[in-house]
Amino acid sequence: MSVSDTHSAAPPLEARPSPLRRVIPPPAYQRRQWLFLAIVLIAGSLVPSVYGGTPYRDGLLAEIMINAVLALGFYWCFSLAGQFTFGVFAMYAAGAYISVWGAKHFGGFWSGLLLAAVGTALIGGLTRLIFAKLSPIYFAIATMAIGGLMLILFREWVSFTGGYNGIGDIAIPSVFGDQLATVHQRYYLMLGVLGLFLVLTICLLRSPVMRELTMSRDKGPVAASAGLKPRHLQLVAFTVGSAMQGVAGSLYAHNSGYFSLESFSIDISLSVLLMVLLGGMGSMYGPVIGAAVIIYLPEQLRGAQKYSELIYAGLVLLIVVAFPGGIADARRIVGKWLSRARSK
Amino acid sequence: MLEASDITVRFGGVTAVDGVSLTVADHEIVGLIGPNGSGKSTFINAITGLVRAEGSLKINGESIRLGHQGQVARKGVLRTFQTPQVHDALTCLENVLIGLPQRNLRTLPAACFRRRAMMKVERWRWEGAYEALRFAGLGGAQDMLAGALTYGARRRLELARAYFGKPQLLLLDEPAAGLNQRETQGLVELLIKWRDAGGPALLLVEHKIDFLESLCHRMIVLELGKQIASGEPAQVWAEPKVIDAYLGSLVTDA
Amino acid sequence: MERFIAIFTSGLTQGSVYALIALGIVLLQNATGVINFAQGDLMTLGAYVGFWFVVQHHGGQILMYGVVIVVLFCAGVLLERIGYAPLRKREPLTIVISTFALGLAIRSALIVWQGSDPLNLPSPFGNKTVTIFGAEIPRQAILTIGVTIVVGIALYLLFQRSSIGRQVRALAADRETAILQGIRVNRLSPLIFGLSATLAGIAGVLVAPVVAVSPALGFGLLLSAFAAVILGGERLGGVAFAAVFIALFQALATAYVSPKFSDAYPFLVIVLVLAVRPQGLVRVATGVRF
Repeated sequence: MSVSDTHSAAPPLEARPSPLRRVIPPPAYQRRQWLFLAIVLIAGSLVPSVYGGTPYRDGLLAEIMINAVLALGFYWCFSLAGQFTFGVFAMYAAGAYISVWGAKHFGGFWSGLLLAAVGTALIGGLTRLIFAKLSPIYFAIATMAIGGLMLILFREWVSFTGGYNGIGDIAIPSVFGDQLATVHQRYYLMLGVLGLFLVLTICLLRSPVMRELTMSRDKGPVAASAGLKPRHLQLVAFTVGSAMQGVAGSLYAHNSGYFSLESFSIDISLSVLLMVLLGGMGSMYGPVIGAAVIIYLPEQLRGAQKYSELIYAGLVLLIVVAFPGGIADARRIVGKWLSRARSK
Repeated sequence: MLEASDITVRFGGVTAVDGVSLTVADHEIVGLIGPNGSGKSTFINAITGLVRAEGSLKINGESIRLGHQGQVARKGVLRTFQTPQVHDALTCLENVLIGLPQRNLRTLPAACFRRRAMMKVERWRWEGAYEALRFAGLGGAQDMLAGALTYGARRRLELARAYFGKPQLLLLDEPAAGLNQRETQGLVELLIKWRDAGGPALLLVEHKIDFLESLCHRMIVLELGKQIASGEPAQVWAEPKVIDAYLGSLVTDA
Repeated sequence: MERFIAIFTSGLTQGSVYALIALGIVLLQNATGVINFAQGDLMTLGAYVGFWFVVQHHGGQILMYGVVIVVLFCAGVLLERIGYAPLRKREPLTIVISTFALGLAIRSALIVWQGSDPLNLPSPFGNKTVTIFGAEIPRQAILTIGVTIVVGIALYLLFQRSSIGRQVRALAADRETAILQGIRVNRLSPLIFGLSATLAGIAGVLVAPVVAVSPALGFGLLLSAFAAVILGGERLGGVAFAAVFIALFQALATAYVSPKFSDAYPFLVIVLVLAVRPQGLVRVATGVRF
């Protein structure tokens, strides 16, 4: 074990000093998270067989996957790193454009994806670094401004993005030589990417980093005085979250044959916020649940198209005021009701 | 162990700490006292980088730049706060686990790619943290959320966190504030137990006089940001300047 | 030369609109610490109410101002009741999110009411212009600048001379002490929300004849108003001057340098100011860098 440490931090190399059984691990390690994730992923891979079939429905499922990745990225920035960002729509757009460009010049979808992840990670990390000292509200405003600037840049940099005329001729993803020519096939790719990011999230949650991040987010100076590096931790989480948003953009781009600047507006940031709020800010599955609900529900309320945004806004308000925990918290709330009912 | 020279802290037009110098030797227990507003807490904030300060700081002979939050923590100087700063949503065990300044295998890449090694070190840390909780008298509370603790228990939790960090010097900012007589006595006994087991040097900022007398080897008195007396407790209390500072000039205008 | 005058006046007019929105934001922020992300949409609401009254209801232009003021004041109070009062104990960011959602609610309610196609609110002067130093200045522009100046003076007097103003200044200086001294925040908040919304509504009615009245009207201008708030240091006077400055800069740069980036300037202001002087914007209470 190549652990670099000082004298007092090295675990004893001799036999275990005392029985471990007395010490119960912290809550983060107790839940059966890996198992639950496996179930979720298996369920996810069965969904197309149950629900899919038509191009429309396949497209909907793909859209849910893409938004789940995007919302997960926002979750990393907002819930984990503690930094609210309005710039989600800009990272999404940047990911899309960088990926298409990268695929064209460097050989295929995977180069594009990687480039998009790295590129948006850099942008996100820089943003967080430059504006590190701002209060949360001003940081949010700064991300709004950066996002706006990025869109303007994309609008004017026509050779890179195609501006309002859009961009076509997009590389189709292929795995081990097989082209994923249908949406149905690409769905599984997206599920795989989402799964990978969920694994990454669990790795973080089941580690000391999680509690240090919680402390850094909520009690920064106290964390610093205990020897942690709060700003550094938040930067790492924010950067990873930004990269996820960029990857979502890349998945979007290579799933559509064509897209233009019109696909990107600040409404995306609002939808993502709603997804995370609705699904539950405190749980890593919140973004996924939220994405599924937000994308799926409007399709069911076809007639109420005009009212959809009004409903969104009302939902956000309701959640913020009455149910801060979102759907993922439902288990806890239901549990409380049940125990209260039982004790009567 | 710690040498602070000429520490000065200014807020706008007010000079909260004015050229205070002090040293703390290994395993020494020093009390820092003075009437309200004398700059005691500000001094601690200056050393730990929470406020901007001028002056110089040396820890174990090594020069440290002032003003970076948490820099002294990695050199073995930890602190507690006037109100116990624990995270309400974390369990007691997790709160204590935060306290270890050494950073092996606590990064995100390690959490992803070196999980086995990380978990081994984690388990070792859990044991150490549990020992710290037991030392502070919170052995049964390891799974309780810190938010559910009483005020006195939160104080002890903060102390457990500091104990886990195995500091060379611990700065205590009014550790007995808000505690009743019994809890204060418990705290004194805890610190004495720690001292007798070879504990760290302590710099105590405190108002409660009997608390200090049973613990301190030496006392330093601040008034309006300046040091006005220093020495053994009994000697310091007898000094007219100190009596003046606390009681005001009752006797002088005769 | 005439071109310069025309551009300058156009910038001044735009600056007046920014200033009205920004003043509303700062007023509210001083009194409650909240930055209202719905301010832009309140402005849009004002424009739509004006449109409805004048075009659909055939009311008079002057009466329109009265109607807009009343409606927007009520909207502000409603905003306070729904989006602020229940959340007073929560973090500021939560309140910001709720105002953001309320702004969206207003926007989408407007779409439901009037559809999303751009509408036109005619100016009381039609297209008549005034000639100043050879340049043709629309009378609407003069009206905008004039109204803004009047409102600015009224606000100044309110702030400096009235008891409400004193209370807001006290809250801005040291909120906790002010509350301890007996300032009734519960009574003051709806009033200030209403007042701030009214400012946004007036801005909406002033700018509507010049641009198309569409649902996204206000939100687009919101960032520019934020730029003024940030540059102006969150003080009423500073913000007004910052607003005019930004708009003038924008107008001149658009005309003489390049029209392509004209909407980027306010964003640039925000980014530059926040990156370089963040400490000026975070209230330093005791010097502890939390």
